[in-house]
Amino acid sequence: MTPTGSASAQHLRFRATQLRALARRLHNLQVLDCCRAAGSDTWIGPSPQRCDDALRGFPGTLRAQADSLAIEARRLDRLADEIDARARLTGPR
Amino acid sequence: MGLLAYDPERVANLKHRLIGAFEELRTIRSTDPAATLAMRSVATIRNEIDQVWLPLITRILENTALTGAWWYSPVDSGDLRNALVSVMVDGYGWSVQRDPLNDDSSVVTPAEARALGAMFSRSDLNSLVTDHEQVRWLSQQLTIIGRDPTLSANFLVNFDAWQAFTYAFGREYAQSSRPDIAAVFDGLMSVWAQELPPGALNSGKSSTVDALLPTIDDIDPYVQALMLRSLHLDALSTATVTHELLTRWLAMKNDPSARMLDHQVGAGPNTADLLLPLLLDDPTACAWFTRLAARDPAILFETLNDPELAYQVVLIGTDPGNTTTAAAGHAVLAILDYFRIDPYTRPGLDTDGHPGEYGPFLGGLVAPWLLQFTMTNEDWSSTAGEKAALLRVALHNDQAMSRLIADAERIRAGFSESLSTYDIDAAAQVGGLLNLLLQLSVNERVDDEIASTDERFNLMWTVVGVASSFLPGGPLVGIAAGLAMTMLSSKLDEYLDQPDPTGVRRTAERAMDVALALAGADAVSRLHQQWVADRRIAATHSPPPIVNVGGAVDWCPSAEYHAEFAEWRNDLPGGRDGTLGRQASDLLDAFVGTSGAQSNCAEVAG
Repeated sequence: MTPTGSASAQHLRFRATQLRALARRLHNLQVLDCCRAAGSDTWIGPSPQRCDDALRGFPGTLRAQADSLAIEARRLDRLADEIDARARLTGPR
Repeated sequence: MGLLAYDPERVANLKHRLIGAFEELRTIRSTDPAATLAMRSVATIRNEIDQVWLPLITRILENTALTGAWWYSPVDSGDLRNALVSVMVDGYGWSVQRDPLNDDSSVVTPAEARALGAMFSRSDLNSLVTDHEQVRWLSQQLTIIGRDPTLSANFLVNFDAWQAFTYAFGREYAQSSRPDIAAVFDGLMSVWAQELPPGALNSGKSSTVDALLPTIDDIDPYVQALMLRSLHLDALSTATVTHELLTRWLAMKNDPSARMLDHQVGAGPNTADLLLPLLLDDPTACAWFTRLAARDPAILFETLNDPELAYQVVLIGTDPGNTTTAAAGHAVLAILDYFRIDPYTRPGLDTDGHPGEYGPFLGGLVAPWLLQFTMTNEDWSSTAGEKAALLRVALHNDQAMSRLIADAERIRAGFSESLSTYDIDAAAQVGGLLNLLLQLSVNERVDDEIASTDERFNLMWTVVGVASSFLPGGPLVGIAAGLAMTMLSSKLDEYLDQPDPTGVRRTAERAMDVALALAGADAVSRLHQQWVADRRIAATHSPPPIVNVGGAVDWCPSAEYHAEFAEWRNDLPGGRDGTLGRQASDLLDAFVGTSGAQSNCAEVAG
């Protein structure tokens, strides 16, 4: 059975909520702060340098993904609004 | 394989944090298609922590307890390549292990630059300079650091071993001239140069050693030379600071208590040898250095192991194309005055810096400036007598004479600067020069009691040959005059057995009279040929007389020639006082006028 307009919109809004929640989690992961525990105050050498570089790169990657999720969530909300608006125009059947 | 150093407690804390991060990442889930990329990133990071970094950290912490194993070797604290590791281990009590990765020596971090700078305060520098591998590595690191202002600042903030470092490396270079040692100086000074204000390396005549180098107590001039060379200053700046440095060097040379690395120089360059070659490609710098050194020519001739360097700098610096006549005069006269007394007879002159075989140099030095030595030339601020006396310093030297005779081109360069072509004034100047040269020759031969014709005649013909391009009449065609000179030479040889000075003087004066008469007659002959070519006189008109060189020993050629010339002059179109007559008379007078001929004949007659 095909979802009605309001059901589709409700589903989209639910997805948007989930994506925003996921984005918030990505912004608050423990891994974002691990680089503070590393660095030249903790260890030095070729391998430590590689590890430090990697740990410093994680936050940027995760925050970029979080931002993408937030953008997608807003897009889904707009779609839901458009569906609701069309439903009001055509009226109940 | 490299080394890694670490604080075990902090590494353990890092492990704990990473484990927590890993567990948290495992709880991140989403089946929404829009979250696919995000989930992939999360998985990648999670796997990297789990499979790469946690195992590394675990191995490090497990091995901490195994550092007493047989395979463990302590850090070599003297190895500069482990400078930073050594600092952390020795200074902060960190642990150290082998690192499976090799250090990338092309990358230097600020911490590594600071650690390297600090290392030299406690390194055995005398041993370090003998370790070629470490020295090469060090030069590479310093070069990398020297390209970056931040790294340079980090290095210099901890580097306080300027004196010990530069002396140890400077001494090694003095003894071996190793290129890797030179590369270390290049790298070190590229680091230092980052601290200098903009434009410091190109201050030209305003440059000073103190403004360019770090302050180092009791620094050796040889070390300063190595450092200045490595700054790669422009040539004018190099000239300025080289003069300052060599002035100090000379003062130290005469101080028996002064220690100088130059005394340890093997076959390689000494302090002056290091710097003077840097000027040779820049004539302006050579001219400037020569001008400075003219105040005390000992800087040129008592500092170099390779005296040729000084010769080259001065000859370039006094070339008419590279300097003013006045500046050249100051330098040339000062240098001739320096050689007025044979420098090898001076007390204190030793093999550390010497004038070498300076004869040919003196010849080249005066060659472009012969006209300036004549009595009537006022380009230089010196008396005629003093100029003649100084020119004699050069002409007294056989090697100088040979160089002059052969160096027609340098003589020509000087004439080109001073003479306008085909100008009767040019003839007067050339005539004055010939008189001077020949008079010096007479005096020389009388002094030496040598009656034979010598190189001075050859010099005279070199001068005449060069000057002919500037005289009325054009280029030399006086082959006859040259043949006459040859006949004269053989004639004069008949009079060689003249032990008494009076007889020698008479012979010498006669030779001079003949030479001037021949030169004048040759010039008049060429002038006549030019008239014919210009159709100012008929080709059938009688040519001017020639000099008779076949007379008795007390006969005076110039007087006879003047008499014959006067008759010939009367027959010229317009008579003796016409245009042609006056022109010919003026030309002849430039070489030997009537009064000059009479004076010569009086001398010959005794």
